[in-house]
Amino acid sequence: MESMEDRLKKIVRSVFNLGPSGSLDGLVYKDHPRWDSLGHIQLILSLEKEFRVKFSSEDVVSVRTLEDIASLLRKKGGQAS
Amino acid sequence: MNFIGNLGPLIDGKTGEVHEGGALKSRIRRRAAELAVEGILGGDRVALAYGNSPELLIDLLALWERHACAIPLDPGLPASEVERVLQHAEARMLLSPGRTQRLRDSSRREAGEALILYTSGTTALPKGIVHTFEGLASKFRALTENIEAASWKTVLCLLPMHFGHGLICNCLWPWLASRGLVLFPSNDLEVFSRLGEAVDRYRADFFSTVPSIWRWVLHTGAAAPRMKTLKRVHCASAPLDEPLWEQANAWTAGAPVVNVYGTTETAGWIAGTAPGERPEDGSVGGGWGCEFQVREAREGVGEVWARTDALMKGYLGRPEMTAAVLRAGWYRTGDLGRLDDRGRLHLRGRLDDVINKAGLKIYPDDVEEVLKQCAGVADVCVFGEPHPLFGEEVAAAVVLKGDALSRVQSWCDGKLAGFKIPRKWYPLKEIPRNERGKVSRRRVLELCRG
Repeated sequence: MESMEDRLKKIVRSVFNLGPSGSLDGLVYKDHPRWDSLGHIQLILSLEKEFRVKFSSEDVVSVRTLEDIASLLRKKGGQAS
Repeated sequence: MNFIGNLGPLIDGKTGEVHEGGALKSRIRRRAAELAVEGILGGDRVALAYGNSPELLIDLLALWERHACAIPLDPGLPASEVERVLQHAEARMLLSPGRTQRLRDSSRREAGEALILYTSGTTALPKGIVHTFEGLASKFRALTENIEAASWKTVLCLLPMHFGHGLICNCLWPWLASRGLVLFPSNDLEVFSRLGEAVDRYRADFFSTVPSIWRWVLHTGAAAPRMKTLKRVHCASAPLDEPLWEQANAWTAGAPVVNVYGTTETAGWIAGTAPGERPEDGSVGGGWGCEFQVREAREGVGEVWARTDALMKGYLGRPEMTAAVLRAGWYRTGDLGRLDDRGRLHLRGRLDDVINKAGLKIYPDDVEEVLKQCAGVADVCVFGEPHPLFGEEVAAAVVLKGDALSRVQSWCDGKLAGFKIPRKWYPLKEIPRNERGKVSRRRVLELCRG
C-alpha cells in the first residue's frame, strides 16, 4: 500500500506540474514560482479530496513545507494516515 | 486638480503602522519636490513597483502633484515583462522600495494622463489602459453620488493595487475622501483566514472582494466578524452567483454584499445592485455614472456598450485597438448581457476567450505567444477550464516536439507571471483548426475534457 508521504508527493508533483523525477527537496510555499497563493489553494483542495480531510483556515496558513503538510495529515488521522 | 486635500489615515495592515493624513500630505509634497529635483515634469510617465503598500500611494500622489503619470506594476511580473512594459510606456523612471531607477533622460509627455494600468505585457504589444486626471475625478464623483458612504470611517483593501478595482475604487476613492485605508498584501491567505478579526480590529465599514475570496473564506470556515461595524461589502471582477451571495451575506451578518460591475477601461465600478438586491439572472444593477446599451441583441441578449465620463483615453500606442472599442464616446465592453425593463443590466458571459482566474484576466494569445517560443512546443492552444474556486483555471493543449512535457512546464517559470502559467496541460497530436486555420478554443476545451 502506498504510504501517506508518497501520496502527498504525488499530489504535489501533479498540482505544481513538477514531473516524476524532479526533486521536491526544499520546496517552500511562496519560494517557488508555482507554489504561490493560488497554487496553495489548489494544493489544499487536492489534498482534501485525496485524503478526505478538511483543513481549517488556521491549518491552511500553518503549512509552508511538505513536512508541515505530512505532520498535519498525520494529526488529522483517518484516510490521511 | 487637488487630490491631497482630504486624505484619510493610511494603515499598514501587516505591521499596524499608522500614517496620519496631515503627515502624509507633507510627505507627499516632500516626495514631489524630490521628483522635481530628479527632473520629473508634467506628463512624464513613472512606473511604481511596490505591491500593496503606503509607499505606492505616497509616490503615486507625489507624481500627481507634479502632474506626472503613474504606472503601477505587479511586483510579481517576470523581469522580461517589466522590461517590455517600461519600454512600451517610455517610462522615465522606475520606483520600487528604497530604489530609484532612471531609465531615460526624457520621454514622450502627454498632458492630462494620470494613470496607465497594464492588463497585459507578456507579448510584444502590451496593453496599457490610459486614464486622465479628469476621468478619474469624474469616477470619484460618480461613486460618491451612487454609493451611500457618508458614515464610513475605515475601509480595508485585500485586492491587488495595480488593478483598477483595487487601486481606483477600493483605495483611492475612499482614501482621498478622508476615510482611513488599511492596506493588506494582495491575495494573502493569512489575511483571508483572519478576515473577520481584521474587520473587528480596524472597525472596518467596507471592503471589496472578488467571488473566489468568498469561496475560499467560506470553504475554510474563516471566522466572521464579531462586531457589527461593517456597512457594506462589494464583490466584482467575476460573476457572483446567488448561493454564494447568500452565504457571503450570512458571513457579513447584516452588511449587504453588493454585486458590482466594472472594467479597467471604465476605471472600475460602473454599475451595482442595490443593497439587499439579489444578483438574480446575472444582475449587476443600474449604472453608477454610466449609461448602457445592448447592441446587436438576439432575444434581448447582445454586447454591452457603456458610456461614462470616466472612460479611458485609450490603449497606449495602439490606435487600432482603441478605435475597435471606442466609438463616439461609447465603449464596447466585450461582455454579453441584457437590460431589463427597469434599465438594470444582467450579464451573460463574454464574447471573447479571455480567462478570468480569481478575478485576474488572462489573454490566451499572450500565453500562447510565450509558449510558442519554447523549442519543445510545435503548437499550442490556451483556454480557460472551469474551476470550482477560481471560476476558471488556465489550461494548455500542446503538441510537443520531442521534449518531455515537464521540460516545457519548467520553461514557463520566470517567463510568465505565476497566475498566467497553465496549471492543466493536455498533450495532443494536433490542435484542431477550421478550414481557415483558426482554432476554436471551445472545441479544444471539449476535446481535452473528453
